[in-house]
Amino acid sequence: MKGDDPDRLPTAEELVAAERLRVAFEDPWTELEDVVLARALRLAWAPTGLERSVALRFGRRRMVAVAALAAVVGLALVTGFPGGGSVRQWRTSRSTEPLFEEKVVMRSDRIDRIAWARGADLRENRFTRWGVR
Amino acid sequence: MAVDLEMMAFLSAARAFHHEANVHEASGDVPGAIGALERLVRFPRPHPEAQVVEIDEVMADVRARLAELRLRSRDLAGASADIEAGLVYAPHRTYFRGLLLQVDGTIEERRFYLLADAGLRDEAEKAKARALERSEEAVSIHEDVIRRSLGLEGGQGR
Repeated sequence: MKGDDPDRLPTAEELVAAERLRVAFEDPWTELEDVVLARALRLAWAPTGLERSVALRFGRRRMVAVAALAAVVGLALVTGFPGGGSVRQWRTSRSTEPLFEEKVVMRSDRIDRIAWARGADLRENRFTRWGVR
Repeated sequence: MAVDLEMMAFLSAARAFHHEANVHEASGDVPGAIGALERLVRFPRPHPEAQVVEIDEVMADVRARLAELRLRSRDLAGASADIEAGLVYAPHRTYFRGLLLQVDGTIEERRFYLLADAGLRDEAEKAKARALERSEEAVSIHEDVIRRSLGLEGGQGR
């Protein structure tokens, strides 16, 4: 988009692009990347059923691909997109009280449980630091 | 060693195996958890000719977890074997070496109780000595890890 003036008239190229986008949104079989991504985002947020006729024409392979894309995008919304504004889910320090809801027999069991639980958190944090999703 | 797809594939698989083990462990299936982690131990390692720190840490860590699980299954010999195998991947005074030695201390502690209960006094005393020695070594290493983080001592690894 050219310029920062919100009141300026759209250019001819922008009008053509907008019309192409509108038509693409009406086309359930469009390959236009922006539309596919928008639909994947919408499905990730609010999955909807397809009419039987549409589903049959859509084809199982494409449905699987879109579902996979929706899942990836949904996951990325939680864990952050690669290379930009990543929101990592760090395991943080917190009370150990929930680890001791039942009777503990030996004193060392307490620290065993704390070390086990936080060891698992450390493992998760390291995988996250390495970028393993 | 540059991070590449093969290395990330290994790390991602490692994470998956740990989560499989979590699921088994949460349902009380310790043998199932051990099975998942044994698959990680046998998983093909990328770049076998190179030292990849992350992979070495994963291998040291999984051996420590396996040893703890085997200890819960009363397989002390298997647990000790895991510790020895894990120490190969953690030759320096790092958290992972300290962890392995700490777990080894608990294995020797359990061995001491079992031998003492069986009336094998001499063997029990040896296990007791090993338990204390390994635990003290673990404490010393962990102290180094913390002191290094505070800038009180030099050294490598975390």
